[in-house]
Amino acid sequence: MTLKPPASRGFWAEAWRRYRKRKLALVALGYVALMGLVALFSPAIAGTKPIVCKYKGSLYFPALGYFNPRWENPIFRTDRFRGVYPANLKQKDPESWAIFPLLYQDPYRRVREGEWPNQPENPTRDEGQPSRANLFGTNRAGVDVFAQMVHGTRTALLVGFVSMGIAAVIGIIVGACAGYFGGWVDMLLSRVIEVVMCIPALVLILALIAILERPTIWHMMAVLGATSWTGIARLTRGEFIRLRNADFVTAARAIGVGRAGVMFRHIFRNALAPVLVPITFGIAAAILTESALSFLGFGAPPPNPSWGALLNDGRTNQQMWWLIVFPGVAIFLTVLAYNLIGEGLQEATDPRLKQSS
Amino acid sequence: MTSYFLRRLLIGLLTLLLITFVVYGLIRMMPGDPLLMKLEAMGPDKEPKLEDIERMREMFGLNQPWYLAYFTWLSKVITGDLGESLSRHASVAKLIAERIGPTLVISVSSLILTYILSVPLGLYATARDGKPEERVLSTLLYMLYSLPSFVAALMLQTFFAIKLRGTAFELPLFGMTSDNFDSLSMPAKMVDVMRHSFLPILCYTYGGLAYYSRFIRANMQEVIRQDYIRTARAKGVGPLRVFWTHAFRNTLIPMVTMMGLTLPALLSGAIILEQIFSWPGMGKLFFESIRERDYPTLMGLVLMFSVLTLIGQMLADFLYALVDPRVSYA
Repeated sequence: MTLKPPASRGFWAEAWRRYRKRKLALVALGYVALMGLVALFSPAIAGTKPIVCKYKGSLYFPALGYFNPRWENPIFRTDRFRGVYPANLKQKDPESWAIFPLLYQDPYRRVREGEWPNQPENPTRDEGQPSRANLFGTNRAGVDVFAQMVHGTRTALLVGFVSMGIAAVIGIIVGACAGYFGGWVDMLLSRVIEVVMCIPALVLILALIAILERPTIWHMMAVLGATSWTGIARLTRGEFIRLRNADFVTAARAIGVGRAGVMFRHIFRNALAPVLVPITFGIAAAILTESALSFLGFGAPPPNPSWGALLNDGRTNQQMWWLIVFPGVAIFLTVLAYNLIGEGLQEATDPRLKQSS
Repeated sequence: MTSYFLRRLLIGLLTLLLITFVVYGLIRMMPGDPLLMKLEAMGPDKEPKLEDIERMREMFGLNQPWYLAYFTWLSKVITGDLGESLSRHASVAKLIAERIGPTLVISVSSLILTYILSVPLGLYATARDGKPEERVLSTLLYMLYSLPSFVAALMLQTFFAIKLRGTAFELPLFGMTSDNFDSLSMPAKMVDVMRHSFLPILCYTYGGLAYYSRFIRANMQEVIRQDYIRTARAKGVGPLRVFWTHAFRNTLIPMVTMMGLTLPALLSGAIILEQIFSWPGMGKLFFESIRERDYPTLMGLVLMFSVLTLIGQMLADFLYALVDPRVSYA
């Protein structure tokens, strides 16, 4: 009979155990999860399009139009709804029913008198202080700020993940090649990294955006990703240099694992933890850069609610404090949350700190 | 070591060529050229003559493809001539010289403030490690570190310039000087600039302050775990002496190298902050020349930033070898 030793926890289980000990990092993770939920259900939280409605005998989901205008059934355009659902549904099909979002407010247009029972018209100009109908007030055009912020969550979340995803792919591939092959490949790639690092990010971003005819939020993300991979590349390069002559790598080569297999199955999986940390911090930086660009007026064009664009509104109307405070706090909390997660990850995966916990 | 830095210098020059070449190409690829921007500014009532446009294009070097124009620019730069601004009637060197002062007012005072405040804060946090007051302080600093400067700037502006309007604490919204600046006496001029620079300096400082004090604390904690600290304690050195002469002196090493890396930030200014406060510094010049497609000014600024970044990195390595005898580049 053999005695089986108790299975030791894997690296990630161990890291999670240590991550959980940091309350602030857990709260931050919860905040990001909550943001994800808000982004996913944004059309159901604030909007003027029904989540579900029965109209002329069929079921429709017009609220999906907030994700992509093409997902809103064209029947509502041919029936001349003009975006105003409650009255039109009643008038054009008395049999119809609809479930509306929690708050009847639109991120793109002003809600008028009598559109929704017991809800006054949105105030315009600088009179839109926060009130019961407009929780976070309205901007000069009378568009509800809360609705814009709820729908802006989508932009903030997407920008962080997509642009850092792109940056991670570029950075890891460049860093891996430079570190693994060494020699002139390293020399060349290191120069490329240095050049991209030295070019002022704003010049690079503005030039890349300017080349495009009509930049969308997706272009912005691609450009942000294409300019922010250098830190990840340098770190990956360092990790690969450290690991390329480790015993397990030599062993893998000896049993005939191919080059790509050695690089990504064996070395990269051991370098993943330290690389994840700058990626998390990078998400915070990407959200910051996107809102800064929107703030400067270089963001994605208007039908795209963004926290930075709201701030830009507030900058020209500084007596309207609600245009500054609410999006400002949202940007701050989000950046803080990602920074806390990054720090939690760093402490949880750093082997040097293992004994202390 | 000399040969190491000579090699670094050569590689640096090569990198510099690459950077300016790429940036020149990128700038020329932005839609619109300085001529168009100028004509738009002139208004529609003045119809420019075709030969005038041609003449100006030739003057600006826009009739060449960009990679040829780059070498024209480069050959001039090598002789020390950064060229003439296209949108303002001044040489690039003069424009930059004009803007360096205001940027230095902010960056130098903020750097001094950062060092004066962050060293005691970082040391205090190390000495009181784990105590409630340290947790509060560290959390506050961490929150400051995550607060975007443009959000803080807008909030401070709303508070000091709008909410406190008419009180003694009202601060000007933007600019560096008041309208009646020229008629003021010397001390009144100083007060005027100080009042204008208070908010920009505050916004410029707090992020760095948070970063540096965390940096100092992290380094101190690393040093305190070292064997030589235990040895010092074991041979009976008092806790204060261990803290100052054994631990703190060793955290100076990473701080010195950090100084090298902050060199470019000293002169580059903060684009967004200078924009929000209409501060006539380098960051604002940079932003304006992007908008005006002022190629020579833009290139001059990029060249300056890149040179400073590369020098800063080299300086950091050099200082590192200077203060830490374990490091050598033989």
